[in-house]
Amino acid sequence: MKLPSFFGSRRKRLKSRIVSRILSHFALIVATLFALFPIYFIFWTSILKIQLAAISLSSLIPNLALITLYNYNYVLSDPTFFTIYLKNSLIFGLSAAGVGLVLALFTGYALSRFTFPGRKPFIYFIIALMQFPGTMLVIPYFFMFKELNLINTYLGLIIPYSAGSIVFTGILVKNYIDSIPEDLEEAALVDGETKTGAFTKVIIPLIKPILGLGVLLAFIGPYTDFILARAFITGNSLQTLALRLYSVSSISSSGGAAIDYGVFSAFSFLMGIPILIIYLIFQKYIISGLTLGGVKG
Amino acid sequence: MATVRLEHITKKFGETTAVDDISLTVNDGEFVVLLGPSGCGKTTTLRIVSGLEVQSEGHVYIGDRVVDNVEPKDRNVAMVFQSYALYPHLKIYDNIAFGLKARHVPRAEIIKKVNETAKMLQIHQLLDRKPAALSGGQRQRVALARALVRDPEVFLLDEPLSNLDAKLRAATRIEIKNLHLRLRKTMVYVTHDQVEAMTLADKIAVINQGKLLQFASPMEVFMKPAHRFVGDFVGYPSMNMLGGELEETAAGTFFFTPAIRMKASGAQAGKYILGIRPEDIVVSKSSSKGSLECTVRGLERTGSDNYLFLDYSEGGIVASVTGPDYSAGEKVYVTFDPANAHFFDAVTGAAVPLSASI
Amino acid sequence: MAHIEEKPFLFRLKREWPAYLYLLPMLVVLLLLTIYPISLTFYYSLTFNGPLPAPGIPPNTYVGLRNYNIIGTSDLPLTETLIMNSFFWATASIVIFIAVGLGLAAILNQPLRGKTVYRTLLLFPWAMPAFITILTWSNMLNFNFGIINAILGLFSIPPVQWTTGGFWAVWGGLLLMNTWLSFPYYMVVFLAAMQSIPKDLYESAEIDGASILYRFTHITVPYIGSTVGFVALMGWLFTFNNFYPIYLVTAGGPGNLTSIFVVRVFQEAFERSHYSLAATYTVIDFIIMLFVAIPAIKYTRLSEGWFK
Repeated sequence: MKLPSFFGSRRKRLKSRIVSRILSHFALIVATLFALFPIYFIFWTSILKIQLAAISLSSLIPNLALITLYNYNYVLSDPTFFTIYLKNSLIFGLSAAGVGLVLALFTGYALSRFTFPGRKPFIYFIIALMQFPGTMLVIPYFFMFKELNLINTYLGLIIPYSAGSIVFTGILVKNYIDSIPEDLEEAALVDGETKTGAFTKVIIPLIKPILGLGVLLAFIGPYTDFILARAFITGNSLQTLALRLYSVSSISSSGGAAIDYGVFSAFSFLMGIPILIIYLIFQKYIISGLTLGGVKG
Repeated sequence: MATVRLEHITKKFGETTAVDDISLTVNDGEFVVLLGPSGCGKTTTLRIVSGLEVQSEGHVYIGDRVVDNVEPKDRNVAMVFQSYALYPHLKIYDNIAFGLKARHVPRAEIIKKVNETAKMLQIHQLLDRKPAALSGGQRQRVALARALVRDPEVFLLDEPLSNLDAKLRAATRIEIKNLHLRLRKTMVYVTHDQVEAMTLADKIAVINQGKLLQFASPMEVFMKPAHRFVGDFVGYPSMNMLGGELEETAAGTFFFTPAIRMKASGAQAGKYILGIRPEDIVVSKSSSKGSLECTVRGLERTGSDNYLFLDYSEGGIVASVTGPDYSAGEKVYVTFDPANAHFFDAVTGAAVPLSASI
Repeated sequence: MAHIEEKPFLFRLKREWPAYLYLLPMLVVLLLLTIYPISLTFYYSLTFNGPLPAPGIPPNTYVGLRNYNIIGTSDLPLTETLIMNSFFWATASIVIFIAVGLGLAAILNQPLRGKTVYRTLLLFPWAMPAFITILTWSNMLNFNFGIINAILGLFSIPPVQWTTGGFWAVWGGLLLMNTWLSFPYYMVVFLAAMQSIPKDLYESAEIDGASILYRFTHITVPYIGSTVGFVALMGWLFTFNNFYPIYLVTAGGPGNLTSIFVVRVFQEAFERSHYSLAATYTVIDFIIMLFVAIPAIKYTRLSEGWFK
């Protein structure tokens, strides 16, 4: 019987391990370049004074001499950026995140903890309703809110924005609460808390991760919404960042050659800052919330 | 006065009856253990006392007060959960202080009480940590501290030792017993472990399939099991059960099993079960009058006790023996004092006052 | 024996009334902002509304199945196109997402230097708001001035008509962008699922002499299968009606090449004021969604997380 050479097999193993490592790094580097390139593209063009037609590969090579704050100046020197666009987008985003999250919290808790007759068919029913494409609710909403004279009003947008996240976030919260042992609330009840007290003192602190994710999702939706805003907002005073960005980016009309591309990029970056702030505040919770929400089920 | 009185408590979950007409009274300062196999309804009974579960029928009294419609927070009971149910987001200090804060006890008093209790249970050096940083035994102490600090009228403990390893379990068992002796508070304790029940309890309530089978002192439960199930469940190894019949013959009344015959009186003719504990069985290497011939199947040594597993013509018997000099296949002869025999009704399982003699 | 059955019921109600209070907001939202508008949509699909070619019929008249007849006969090619495009869009996207997501997750699930850095950087596209990045992609895909064609030029590849060309060019551009938008989410979720597989399973398989491929197909796949299935189903349902990528880049064009239901509905309603027609397409879309979602949820046990 021929014994395998110890050194030979070790060298072979080592070699295949190195090859697989190199391949892994190569794949990850390609993926990372792919993931980061568009972001770099926005960032770099935002500090260049450049039109779309003038962007070439060579203009994307970092060059300190080309850097200018012209675009940011241009966007920020227009007071309506703050007084209309940013203000309105923040109003819609924050109020929807606030209202929607509180509602989702109650919903998720009720769905997770309370048994009521017909609970399972009820959840099936909700899942079926969720299949109705949200975008298409815009049409009936449009007529409903027209009837109520809520078109082109803050309330008329805040209501559907808040409602938009309640079912999805509610189920997210429910799944998360399902993973918290019921003993904890019962201990609080015996310890002298009311049901509400057990909810606020035990459950809420424990579901922070999912609330972080919920805040982010519930904010980004309305903050960057184009569909409802496009359909509901007719006057100048309610215009949002998303509507403005869309008009800044509209290339199709002029063929795009003359579009002031740096301004678009700078606008995009400025629009992203509030999201970045929320992301940073809740960062700790978002990743764990994301993975938990997805793996469950 | 903190007696706990259950009056005809029944609890149904849909079609299943978890607790079936249980009545018992726990006197002030008494340590009562609810003992039974898992799923027997003992935990549900405890939760009904705490108010976390509401009975379908019957009344619960704590002290002189009917608490049927009183919420858990107003029953002045404290509970230790099997999982300990420590709040993972709170430090140990805040875990222990939780109930006092909920009851708006002044801050200075909370600090004093938490520190006292923590010292008593030797967890005062852990107060700044979170539960995740604690070992199982430490968490168990925190759970105890959280109940103790409240100084409630009644303590409810739901299998508090089942998540500990054997050594720690034995040590904590003694500590709980000492705590009770020191505090003399009313305690209701749920377990499926008969050793815990025997060592801790002033009184044991044996529950099976939702029914209370016996409520008595540990010694009485052991010596005079009121039901076949009690005899079987309490004591290790289990009581030997031999089915037989009581018959009246010309020579007198006899209890027959296929292998044994003895004089007996005190009940009507019919089918009964004879129960005899392994430690009441005498094993001899030579036959004597009325002895039962058995074959040794095996010997289980636990160090201090040895259990002999025997086969006879109709089944198996376990005997507790001192000497280890038995080998498989060997023939031995078994006798026992009829005075040590227990008799149960073959149908209902209830104990029957039969007295037997050779 | 004391019977106090009524009392505990009232007691329960008294104790648990917050339960119903907690559910109230959801019920109100469901009723007023979901069930009612959905019913309205069904109703609109049965009425005449908007400048349809229907001389003589006043607005908001009940016209029965007239709208369905219109799209079922004269408009048939478009309806068929919408169905096929939506299915293609959702299915192709999901297949790519899963392949890329699983691949990257598998790579990141091995001991590798700097993998947390990779993971953080790879998550960037997900963290950016889609509305902004889609507009950026739309510019990057521009035929004349887009940077993508410039990059292709580096490799001597002739410029591609990403928004105006043929089937593979336009769908290819959209799928490339959609992959960029979504792969981080799939990667992170699959990675988390893989990390939850007990290590000793792999160790015992390795001792038993199982190859890497065998370990992947016999341990990894069965273990994370339900996660992948659930995420794929949810992703498919979402992509089927994902509005922005197509609306902002091709608006369904060129012609109807990339027209999907949700884009068409928006255009019919808010660019052409064909509200009834839009409602009719919505109902058809909804029915397709139910036909896919309900059996998948009911028969595959993918939804266990929803019930516990």
